[in-house]
Formats: sequence, structure tokens, C-alpha cells
Amino acid sequence: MSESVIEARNLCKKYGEKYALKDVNLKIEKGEVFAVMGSSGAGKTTLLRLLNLLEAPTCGEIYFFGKEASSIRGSERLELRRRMALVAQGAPLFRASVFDNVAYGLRVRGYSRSYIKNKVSEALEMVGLKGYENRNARTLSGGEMQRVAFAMATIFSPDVLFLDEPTANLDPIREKAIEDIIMKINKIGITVVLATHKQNEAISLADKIAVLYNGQIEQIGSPEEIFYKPRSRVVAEFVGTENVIDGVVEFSNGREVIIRTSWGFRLSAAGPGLTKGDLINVCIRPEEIMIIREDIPVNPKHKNILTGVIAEIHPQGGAMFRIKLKNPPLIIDVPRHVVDKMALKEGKKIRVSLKLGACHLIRA
Amino acid sequence: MGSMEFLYEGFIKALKLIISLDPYVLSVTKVQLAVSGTAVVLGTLTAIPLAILLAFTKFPGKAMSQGLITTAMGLPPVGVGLFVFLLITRRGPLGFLDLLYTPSAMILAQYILATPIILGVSLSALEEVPQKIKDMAFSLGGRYSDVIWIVVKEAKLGILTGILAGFGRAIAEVGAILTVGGNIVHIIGSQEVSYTRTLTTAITVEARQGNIPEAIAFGIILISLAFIVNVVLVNYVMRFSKGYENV
Repeated sequence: MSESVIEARNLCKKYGEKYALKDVNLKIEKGEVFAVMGSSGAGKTTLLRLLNLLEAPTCGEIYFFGKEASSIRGSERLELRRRMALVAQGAPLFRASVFDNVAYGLRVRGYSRSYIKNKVSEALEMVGLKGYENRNARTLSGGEMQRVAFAMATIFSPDVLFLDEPTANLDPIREKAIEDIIMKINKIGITVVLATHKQNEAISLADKIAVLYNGQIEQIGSPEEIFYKPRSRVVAEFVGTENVIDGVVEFSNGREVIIRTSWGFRLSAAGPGLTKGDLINVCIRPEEIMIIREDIPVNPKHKNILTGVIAEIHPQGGAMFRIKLKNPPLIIDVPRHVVDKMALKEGKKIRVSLKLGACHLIRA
Repeated sequence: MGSMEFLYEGFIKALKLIISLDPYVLSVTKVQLAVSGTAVVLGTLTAIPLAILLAFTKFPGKAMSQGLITTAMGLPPVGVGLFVFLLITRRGPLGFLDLLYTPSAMILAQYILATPIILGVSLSALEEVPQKIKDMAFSLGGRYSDVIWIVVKEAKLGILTGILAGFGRAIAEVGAILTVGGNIVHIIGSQEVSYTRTLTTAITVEARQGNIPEAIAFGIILISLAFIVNVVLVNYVMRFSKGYENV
């Protein structure tokens, strides 16, 4: 079992009468990338600021390396703070040269000039900004500023790096470059706590994801758990499960259930532990719905067959198309080659199959 | 003889006075620079620590003290002159110091005029430094003193503007130094040497007495000084304000 670097217990933060965070419990293990997901205003930034000791919580405790933060004072607290760093959203930089910005963390720690000089060029090389030392930091592009901020925050090899929306306002190519640097930083042993609202970023980077909603943690788990086994409708909708359907269990044999949905059709799904009368939400990710070719007869492998008429069809980027059905109003993502081969277009009637495994059930 | 000729002649004579480093003109300029310079240096030494203190502390009545500073930035020079006069006149509370009609009295008056300006402008520059910058310094391992230092560095342009504005105020005012300095000139040998006469007070005297070349010479020097100060400021702004909007 790996060591827990940060642990929060019953953490809350109040601004005036409003809770920005409430009942937050989490454990961040050494060496992992821990993503905090949530839409704007969910409390991501507040959580990062509390964990970085920039603000004090209203209630609850934070443990760093097993020790409670509020009991740590004076020089010990400075030492603790110096094992962490936060890169705020928008990567603010000092009004100075790139060198002076990157050198800051080492200067306040009192390192020698020659040591700092070497370290700065190393740090700049790691973020791909070799030779930028004498540039004015405030004249850099957004992506370059983000890189300088990374160099600033990693030059003193912190144990934990907090990143607040590191790819906000960046185009997809620069976004990818920043994600690569985050991977690199994580590989050299720095635990990364990443606040983001982007699903792709969380999926590609995170070992563990916490979903924040209205200041509370809805679910913590691996990316697979969060994306394919969301525990609440909020999480399901947030991670891009476009089809969330209300339903009630009509029949159960202990393992499989038959559900009558509010959209009028019945579904069978794996539902261990559910009994007749349970109110549930059926979550179906749009890429998990299969369109049945017209020339293939229906066979027993095809579960939950529904027919519908295509209301809209739009290209999605990444060679995917998104289809919206009319009655039932399912949303389906299919690759371009399927669209071409089956000549899918608006007004066309299609049959779809919802595999048992594609229907994820949550109690409503 | 037209009016243009009279101005032209005055202007030429004025340039001769300046280029020949006329001892009287020089002594007046020296007094001006010594008085205003000392007042601004003392004002800076008072205002900047005070601005830092005010920017980094919260206390009840802070808003009111800021209002007070803003008011003090617009104090009328003659009023300040009168206040200092009453303070140091023989029968005043500080009469025993014998300061009336000395350069020290003038420094005191200009100090009172310049300090609130330096303080007010610096304070607003310090308070405009975004919270994000302070947080970053703290998060990167800075102590509280490191955070203060980085804020001062971020605000240095505004602080410099404040100091130069204070200097501009000091070098331009007549009322206060006339009241407490007395516009005194000593005659040494046959040479006039300024004791408490500055460029501004000299202009009023010389113009009134019809010494047009002298008045123009002092005017040229005064405007040049103000101009140099502004050029330095503008240059500095141009050099360091790049990316200012990116905060």
C-alpha cells in the first residue's frame, strides 16, 4: 500500500453563509495523478487552495504525510509549504524576466547563484523553453506562460504539485503539449493534483478522479469507475453520459432486471441486488449504443432492440458522428465509416441494440 | 520696438545667463533642487514604509485613513505654508527651533505637501497587485517578507510614479515656500546669492521687478527640470510596462 501524501477529513469552507466546500473526504496517494473534476463554481479552486495552505478551512482537517496541518506551525509549516506548489489558473507570472520567474522558488530557499543558474536551464529545458531565460515573462503566449509556470513550480522538486485548470484557454495542440509535460512531471515522482472540467484531460492523465458538485464530492474512483460506473445522475451527466433515463424495476431474478423506462420502452440489464419497484436511472454512454445493420436479421445476441428515426446527425471531430434519435430520444456516437456504409442520414429509420453491459443502473 | 522683439531679447539674454552659469541663477537653482530634493527624499522614506504597512494590514478605519490620504494629496500650498509658519514662528509651538525663513522650514513645508502624494499613489499601486501574484510567491515557498518584497517589485512602476509626482508637486509650488522661506537673497561682495530663493519664487520677484531675462531664464530651467523628470518617467513606463495588461 502506498503512502498517503494528503488526506482530507470532513473538510468544509464557508464564504459568508455559503458553503464553497462541504464534507470533503479524500486521500491522495504518493506518485499518483489525482484529478478533481467539476464544472465552474463546483469548488475545485477552493479545494486546491485549502490543500496548498493558502487558505484555512472552516472545518475539518488536512493531513500531510500523516500529520495534521493546523498543528504544524512556524518553521515546520514553512518546510511543509515548501514541499508543495500551486500553479493557479491562467498561470500568473511576475513582472520580470523568464529567468527571474523560474529562479524564484530557489532564491527564497537561499540557493547559490551558480546552482540556480544550472537548475533554471534544466527546468526550462524540461518544459521545452530552452534559451528563454532573458525573455520578458509578460510578453509570452498563453501556452508559454503555462510552461514557465510549470518550470517555476517544479524547479525545487516539490512532493506535490497542484494544477488549477492548466489547459484552460489553450488550443488542442498546446493542450496536448501541456498534458505531455504533466506526464513528465509525474514520472519524475511528483504527485499531481489536477483541477479540471475537461473529461479528456482527466481520462488521459488521472489515476484517480474525484467529481465535485456544489462543493461536495459525488464520487471518487478510477477513470473507468467514474466514466462507466457513475454512482449518481450528476456524475453520469457530468462525465458525458448523454442518455440518462428514469425507470422502475418491473422484474428481477436477482441478477438481471427488466426495467420500464419513462421513455416508454422496456430494457433488460444486469442489476444485481435490485428488486421489483426500485426507482432507478439507466445510464447509457452514446458510444456504447450499437446500430444493427439492415441486412442482418435480429439474433439472440442482440439485446434491447429499439427502433427510431434519425432526427439529427452531426460530425463530432475525431472521425465520430453524433446521432440524435426521435422517439426514443437517444443520443448515439458512431464512427464515420459506419455512417458511410449504412448511409445514415436524417429521417432514416434504424434499429439499435443496448447491450446488457452498456446499461449502467443507478438507484434514483 | 515691438513686443516680439522685447521677448526675443529677453530670451537671448536668458540663454546667456544659463550658458555662462551665472552665479546668481546657479545659486537659485541649487536652493530649489536642495529643498525640493530633500523634501522628496524624506517624503519617500516616510511614505513608502507607511504605504507598505497600510497595504498589508487590515484595521478598523482603514477606509477612512485612505480617504484622509486622498484629501491630503490636494492640500493647498498656501494653507500648508501658513500652517508651518504658525508652527515655527517665534511665538509658535516650535518657535524655539528658530526655523522661520530658513531652507529647513521650506523643506518641512514641501515635505508636508509631497508625502501624501507619494503615499497615496504608492498605496494604490501596491493594492492593485493581484492576489494571484501574492499567492504565487507564497505557494512557491516564500515567507511573508518575500511576499511583501515581490509586491513592492510588482508595484515599482506605480511607486516611482508617486515619487515623481511628489517631486513635481514640490518643484512647482510657490505659496508654501514663499510664506515660510521668505525669498531671501544674500549679497556677498557684489554678488547676489540665494539663501531661500527658489526658481518659482524667483520668477515672481524678477517678473514683478521687470528683470525679464532673469525671469525667463528661471522659467526655462524650471520647465526643463519638469521635462527631464517626465522624460525619465515616460521612458521607464515604456520599458517596463510591456505586458502590463496581461496581469
